Amino acid sequence: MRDIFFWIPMPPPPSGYILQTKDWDTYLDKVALATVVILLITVLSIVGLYAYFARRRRILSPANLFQPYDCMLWLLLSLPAGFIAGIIAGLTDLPLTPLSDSVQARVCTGMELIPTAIQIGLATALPCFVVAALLILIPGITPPAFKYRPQEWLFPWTRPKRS
Amino acid sequence: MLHLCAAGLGPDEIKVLLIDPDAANGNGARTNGAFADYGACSEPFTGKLGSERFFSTKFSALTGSESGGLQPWSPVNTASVFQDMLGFSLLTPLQQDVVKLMFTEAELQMPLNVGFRGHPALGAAALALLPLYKDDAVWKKVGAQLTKDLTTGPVRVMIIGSVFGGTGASVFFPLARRLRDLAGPHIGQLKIAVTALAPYFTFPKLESSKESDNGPDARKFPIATRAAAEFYHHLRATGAWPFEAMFWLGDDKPTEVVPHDGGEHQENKAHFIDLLAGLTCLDYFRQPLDADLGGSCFFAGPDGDLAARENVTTWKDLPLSNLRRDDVRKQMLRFAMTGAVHVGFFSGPLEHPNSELAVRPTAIPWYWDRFVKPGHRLDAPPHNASIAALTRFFTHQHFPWLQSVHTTGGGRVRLLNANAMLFQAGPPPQGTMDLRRLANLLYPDLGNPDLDAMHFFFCDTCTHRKPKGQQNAPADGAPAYLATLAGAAAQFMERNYPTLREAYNAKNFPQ
Repeated sequence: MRDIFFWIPMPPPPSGYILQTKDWDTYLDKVALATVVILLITVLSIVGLYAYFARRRRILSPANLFQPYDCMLWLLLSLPAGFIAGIIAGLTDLPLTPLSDSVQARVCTGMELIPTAIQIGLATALPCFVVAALLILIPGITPPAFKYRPQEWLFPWTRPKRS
Repeated sequence: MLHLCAAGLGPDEIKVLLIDPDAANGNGARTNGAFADYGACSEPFTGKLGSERFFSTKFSALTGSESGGLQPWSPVNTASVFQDMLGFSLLTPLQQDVVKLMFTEAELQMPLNVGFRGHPALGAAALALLPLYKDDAVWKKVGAQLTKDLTTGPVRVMIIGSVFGGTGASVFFPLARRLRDLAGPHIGQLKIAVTALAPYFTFPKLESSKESDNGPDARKFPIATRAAAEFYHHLRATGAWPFEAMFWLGDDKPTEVVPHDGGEHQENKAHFIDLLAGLTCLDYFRQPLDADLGGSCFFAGPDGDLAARENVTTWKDLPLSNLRRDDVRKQMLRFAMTGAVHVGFFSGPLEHPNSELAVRPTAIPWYWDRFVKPGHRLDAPPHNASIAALTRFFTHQHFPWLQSVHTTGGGRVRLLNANAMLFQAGPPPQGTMDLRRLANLLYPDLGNPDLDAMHFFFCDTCTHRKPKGQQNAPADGAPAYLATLAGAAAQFMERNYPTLREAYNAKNFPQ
């Protein structure tokens, strides 16, 4: 599972320690599992909430046709998902092996894992956003009455121009 | 009848001849306006809606009018008095005495600028002279058209008029006789029926008028009706009966109207008898060509009254024998619903010059897919004129008519939901429907408006698919738009009017 973070480099160990590959792999496996769970939950939540609120949206007068399509804001749930994944990455134990017996074994601190956590956070938020957005674009999830609204929200430059 | 044809209940073609000496009367002006507005819709929609039958009847006026309206033909010179029309001064003294025996001095001096003012005898005398009009442009056209139509097959003619007033009461027999003369050798192909309207409105005697006045007097309506009935009985008894059928309509509680002695102020509101008369005509036109009605007289029974224990008009009361009652109900409902949504929702974005829809046409997905993308914008020529005509027909004609038909009888009409009809007195009068009652356009009013009804209708417009076959597909542009609304209305009704569905499925709705 760690392969999903294949591009994330092993962080440089603090002086006096080395980071063993097996420890890094174990760490990545744990974080990757958490990330996948977060991604699934988040995507399902976004799509579910989107579909629910899109169906609750009402067109009762012509003015309603042109109101902002707020349902798409549920995609922003990807941000807290990424944040949570980053926090989990920062709090997950990554054992450091001391170079000498005089140094006590310890795990990486959160501060030391910040670059990794940021990357994992981004690697969670972005797929959440993209996958949820793609699902939203599938006919049936968006009600036919709002067929073009997600596309225009995601790609505003595709909106037709006044002829 | 015109409104029912707009709803898709009419035949493919109807030719109209309007006879009224009082050409400027308010009722005539309203009829003229309705005819012109229907004509404006007929141009873009008739025969172009695919399988949809709204506006499917092509009306043409035998009298013609430059404005596209309905110009009445007058049997009299409106600048003259009655005795001039008879050529009184040219008669011998003996003949003049005979004339004086039949008409009062006041009648002989009656100006004809506003018709016969409730004097059937005058109208009968005037219309008895119909054969003398053989060189009149209108009658030449009527003769030519009738001959042409009769050579291609049977022709049905329906003459509609009141039997208690002036012109209408006097027109049936002379007109039928004249048409039979015109038919010549094709007379066997000509079938003439009459819709005779017994008194259905009344008015108080004008305070300023005296007993000797020549103005219309509602107190004489029953007597005039009885005299007319006796005359028609005489025709039957003597074998001079020229009609295939005579349909009698009336109301035992006549509606009180404001009295006017003809002219532009004589504008009575549409009455539910008008609706029944229109249906009677269309039902007659639907008769199989080989049907033989045997010259009978027909009247509508009081089924609905007995059921409701009140003197009311329900769907069961509609006098139908060939039209399916359920079809009439569904078509009227669907047409009203289509118009309500057009006027109340779509016409604004489509017609307003600064509408945001022009900038964001994708806000209505099907508008973008089926109209803007293929280059059939509804806010640009030629379709914008068709959309404006549709709005005008519903706003200024159909909805005020519906509202009037449902309210002039004092709440006794129980067809559509009168509470859903919104009316703004004119001029010109404007009508629309409450979109919150889209799911309750049929009588009775259920009380709680459904705020989401319009939303669900909008969703139906988005899921409605254009027919794929070329034969049933509506023409692009405005016809496709109207067909979309009509199709969505059908979907909406299927879901929200379960009683209609049950009646339709069970096929047991009383005929």
